[in-house]
Amino acid sequence: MKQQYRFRRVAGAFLGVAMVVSALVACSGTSNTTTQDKALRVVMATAPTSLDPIDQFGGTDTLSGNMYVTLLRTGTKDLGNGLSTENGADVEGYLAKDWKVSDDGLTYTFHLKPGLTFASGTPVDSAAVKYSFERALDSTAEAFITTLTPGLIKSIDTPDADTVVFTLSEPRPSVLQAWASYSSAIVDPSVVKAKGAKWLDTNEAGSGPYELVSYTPNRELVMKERPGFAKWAGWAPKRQNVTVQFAADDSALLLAVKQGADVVIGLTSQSVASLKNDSAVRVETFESVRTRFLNLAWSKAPFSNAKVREALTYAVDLKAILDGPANGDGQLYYGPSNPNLPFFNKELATPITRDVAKAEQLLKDSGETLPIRFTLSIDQGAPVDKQIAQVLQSTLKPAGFDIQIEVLPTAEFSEATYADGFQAQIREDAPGYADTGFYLGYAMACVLKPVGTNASHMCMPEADKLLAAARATTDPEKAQAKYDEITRIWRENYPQIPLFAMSPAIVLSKSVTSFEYSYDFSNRVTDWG
Amino acid sequence: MTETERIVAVRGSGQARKAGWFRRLSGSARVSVIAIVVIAVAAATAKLWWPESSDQTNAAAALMTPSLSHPMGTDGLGRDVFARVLEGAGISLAAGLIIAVAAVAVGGALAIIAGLRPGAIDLVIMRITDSLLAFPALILAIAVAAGLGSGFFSACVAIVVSTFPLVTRVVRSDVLRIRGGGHIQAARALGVTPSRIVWRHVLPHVSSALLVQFALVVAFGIIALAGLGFIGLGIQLPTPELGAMILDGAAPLIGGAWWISIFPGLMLLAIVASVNVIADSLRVILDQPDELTGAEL
Repeated sequence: MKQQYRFRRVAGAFLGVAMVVSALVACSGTSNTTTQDKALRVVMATAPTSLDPIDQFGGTDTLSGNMYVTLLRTGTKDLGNGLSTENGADVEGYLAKDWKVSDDGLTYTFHLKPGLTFASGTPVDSAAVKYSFERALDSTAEAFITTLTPGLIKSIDTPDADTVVFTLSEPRPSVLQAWASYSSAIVDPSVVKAKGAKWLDTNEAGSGPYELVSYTPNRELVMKERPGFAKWAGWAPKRQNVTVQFAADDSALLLAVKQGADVVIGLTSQSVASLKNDSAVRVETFESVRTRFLNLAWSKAPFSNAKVREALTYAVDLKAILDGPANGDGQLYYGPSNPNLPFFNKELATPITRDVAKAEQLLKDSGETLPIRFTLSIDQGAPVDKQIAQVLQSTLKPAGFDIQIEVLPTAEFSEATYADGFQAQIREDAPGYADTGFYLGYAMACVLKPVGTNASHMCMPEADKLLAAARATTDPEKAQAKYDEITRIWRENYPQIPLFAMSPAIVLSKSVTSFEYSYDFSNRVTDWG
Repeated sequence: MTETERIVAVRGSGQARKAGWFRRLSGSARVSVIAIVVIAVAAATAKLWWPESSDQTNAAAALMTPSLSHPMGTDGLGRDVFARVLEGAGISLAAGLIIAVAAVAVGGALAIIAGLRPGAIDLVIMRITDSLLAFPALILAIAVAAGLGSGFFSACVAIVVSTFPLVTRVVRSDVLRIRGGGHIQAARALGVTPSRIVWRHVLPHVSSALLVQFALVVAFGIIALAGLGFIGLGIQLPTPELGAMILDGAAPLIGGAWWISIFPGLMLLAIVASVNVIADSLRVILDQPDELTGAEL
């Protein structure tokens, strides 16, 4: 009994001391917490499919880019009020302190900034760069780092630990932008060799500004500032700790805003509009290279018939879509590339004016049985596309189109895109980097390796020849003339319908004073805070 | 009383029940019947008396609060919520009836076969039924619908698959009870064909159980269809199904536009509660001692 009392007294004293210590620690923690220490809470609609840099195909796949360095990185443009945007036309050194391009445009020599190491202690040197590029060349990322030109990189040489020399098979000025993309991130060769490539799907082997703390696919990713990076780079991430959560549902994203998330990305325009009177947040829209398309499959009826495509183009009420589901956050145009991509010609790419009578006449001339019935596939994970599909269904009916809407799970939708698995689909698309040639290379060109052809199966051989010439030239005026001609040919063929160029809206809490928008939404978390 | 007299008496009481079924319902059940009839008639004739279309989008009229011209407001695409709720109610009622007819037909047929064919057939049917009953009905419906793909037909099939086993289980016990009844034995002795025995002597005596199960399946079918619609496995766009409408209104609800999901929710509540009250009242009315066997049904 006496022993029991003694135990209780000791336990009680221990508990009391523990509580006092906890309270003191908590108080000291509170008083010393700075904005930089406070974890940034980000909520995004789309979760990464993989954290491996070579599996990144846009969207939040580039989130892991914050944990890697690349030879180069895209520049930024200050928008004022703490906001900035990625400037895709401009590249600056990152791991490379400088670089030189030979006069013939075939040799690129990079000098690396020494002193950076991976978590394993391995230096981030020319051998790591060579290994990372060769690994990417053996994967689907090849399309990105060679700007869709198989065999473009003839050799990668490493004369010393801080020098890398790339030799190309043909001049390709836009290759610098490609090498600033996260597909060319530098990985730790020793870790990848030891753990295997699959390990990188859920882990990281980088040396970038953040290191991975934990990752639960489709749920949460936690990062913290990587020790030693700031000393090497001369700059540090705005926040030391970042928690990114993934919530595909629009109402869940809206709830996250109400619960005080710092950055919310992926809300539908209408949900964003409902926040305009919310004093706790600010909504910022950014011009982007993203476009929402109505893709039409040339490979099958009814859109193998050019007159039907033309009729549909004249029948679509683009203004109803822009003013309705898009809530006015976008821009109308009709041409092969987004208004924010280089070489876009506003005069040539004016939007088509809706003309239902003309559409009806074109349908009569098409020789097809009326009404024209087709299935419109949409991605279950894109709530705005459900709204757009219903507007299309309602507004195209008077012109003679009978639309069946098919909602596909995201994986099935993505698979159908390049497998000729749709008649028509609504899809959001943007190039991995702001290069018109690269974009048209996969969105318009007749042949696309290794998948076969572009998603719509459109083929305009004359435009392809002009595209090849435009990509090869270093003279901007000559390139502009070629792209203008491509725009004319494209418009004559009515290949697909750009519904609107997107101006994505990001919801920021009032505590966030700095935000940089990037085309892929998530690769510049370092500048959020 | 002879066997024949008792059968005549039972038939007579059945006719009396049929004649006065509405009066025999509880007060709340009578109100529910009237409510269902009013909703069904309003839904079926909506296009004749309500000027707004359920699928016509209008960006300029998006997210309008309830008013005289739009009593339930408009949704994010400017569609009249009242027109959509009416059409959705009609679809839900029709779907509930279709599901119930199919579930009672399949479940009832299997119950009669199992009840009248003891041995291997009964064993196989009841083990399959038991294995399906091992899953919660809604989870089973979701699994089947996910396998079949989204759409009205697959949603209905999924709900029928998840509901018919219960009908089979309940009705089979009735069939087992009357199987040994004197009238059936007499019919067999007289050489009456099995199909005639089923139609003339089994079905009339399990009709009460079938009717109660029918009403319960209607209610479950409507709520399950809405549930499947809510998770995207039900009727496809732009058909105004109540569950899908509640889902569509979820984000606007948080943003302040409460009317888009609240009104479909209230309509769903009204329909399901009414059907449940009717089913409950029917169960009470029909839960009488069987006059042939003296046992509880």
